[in-house]
Amino acid sequence: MRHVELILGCHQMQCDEIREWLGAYLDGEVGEEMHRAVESHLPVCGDCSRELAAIRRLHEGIDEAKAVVVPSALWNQIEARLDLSSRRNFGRWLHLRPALAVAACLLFMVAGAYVLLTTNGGAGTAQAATVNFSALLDDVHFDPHGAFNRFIALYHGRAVDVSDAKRHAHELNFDLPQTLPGGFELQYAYAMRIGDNNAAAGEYSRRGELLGVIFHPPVHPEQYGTHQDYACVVGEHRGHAVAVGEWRLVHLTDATTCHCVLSRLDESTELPPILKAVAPELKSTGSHHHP
Amino acid sequence: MTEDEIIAGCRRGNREAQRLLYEQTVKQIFRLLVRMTGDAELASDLVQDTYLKAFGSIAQFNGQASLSTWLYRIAVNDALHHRRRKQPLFLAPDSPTMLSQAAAPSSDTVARLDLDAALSSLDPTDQAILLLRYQEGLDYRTVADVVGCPMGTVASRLNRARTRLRRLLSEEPTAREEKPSLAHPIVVDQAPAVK
Repeated sequence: MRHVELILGCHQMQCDEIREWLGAYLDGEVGEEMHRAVESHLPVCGDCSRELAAIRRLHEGIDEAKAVVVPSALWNQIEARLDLSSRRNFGRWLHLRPALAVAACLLFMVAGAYVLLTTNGGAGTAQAATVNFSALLDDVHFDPHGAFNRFIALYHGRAVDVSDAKRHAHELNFDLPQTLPGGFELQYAYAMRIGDNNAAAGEYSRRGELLGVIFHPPVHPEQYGTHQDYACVVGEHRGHAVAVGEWRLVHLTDATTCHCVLSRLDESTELPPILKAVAPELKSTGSHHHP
Repeated sequence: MTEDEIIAGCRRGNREAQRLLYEQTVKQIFRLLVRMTGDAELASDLVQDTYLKAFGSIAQFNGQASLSTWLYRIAVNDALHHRRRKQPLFLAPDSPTMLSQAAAPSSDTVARLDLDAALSSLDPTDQAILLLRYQEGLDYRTVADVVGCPMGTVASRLNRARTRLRRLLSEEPTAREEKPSLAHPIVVDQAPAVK
């Protein structure tokens, strides 16, 4: 081979020049003249051919690891930050227009006074951050996964490992097993923040059917928008639930944790084993309607 | 919705247009950032920052580059900026710490580096250029647009990065290895192709 290379004029200087261009040649980024020079050199130079093969392998290696899964909650997180940014911009707008800000404050005070006078006077309503389920309940019928993800994003949810979710919300009693009775598989565990407290959630799926679990401290009042809650019994626990079509958001609360399960499962037959799996330490007599 | 309509919608702050722009481009942006940072969670944060910046500054998008090139530029700048701020993630090339973290220490540590570890030990800009070209499939002109350097620099940095990668992977280029810099101009035979 070396003999052939020498006969055809393959020498060190030519190889050095060719090799400068091999990468660009493979990339289709050389001009016609250089392209021709490389094409005529390669058949007579084993070293440069091997060099070309090595560069090609490297390119293919970099190209290989392409499969990534974009986290499903990512858009919801962006959307939540966009909403937050809009509110801040509105605040800034008011700041730059003091007269309007004063007018807005006065209006707010008048409206507040009206509400106090027309309700029970606000007694006993020291408000912690609320857990607002209204948007989740509004949309769950049409887009269950999207509605659940938006809810998670609203409370700063981020996808984490189960162990991290437990560490994050270590004051709460809950579990997020990989599989739930009925064949639901854990898709994502979330660490969340509601007001000043840590919370957690899990997103399960059974052939595309959503089952969501949310765990938060029972200090947070819950809001359901236009939806009404009713008392229910799940196994040996008393709780309350909100129904939207075939969907149920069931709450069972003990001293440390409100366990919320969003699903299409029957409360009396299918839900008890699910509850036992995600709330193994739930006290049998302790469940009640929390604040 | 066409790209022009999406841009116009984003300029008005239309949420549907913003969502469409995100859906059409997020895979490539996320894929690049995961590979640049080696950390999916950090990549998710950077993706969020990228799109928030894009939506916030879409009025400055002049249409000279394609929308995805513009997004790549924001993402790469963000990632490089983050690397500069977070020293533990952004060790200098040749850092012995990075090499020892990436592979089991031995007399032949470098030989044990896998491709991702080797990539992470490159100069961050070289790494970005390499990924934009070979993972994302951008041509030299578009890569130059994204990182803001001449096309000749893209070619020379690619040569340098390839040589270093092969050395790290213990596939030592022979004595007559690629030279680290190219002085000659690059001729582009094809139109910019942005995935």
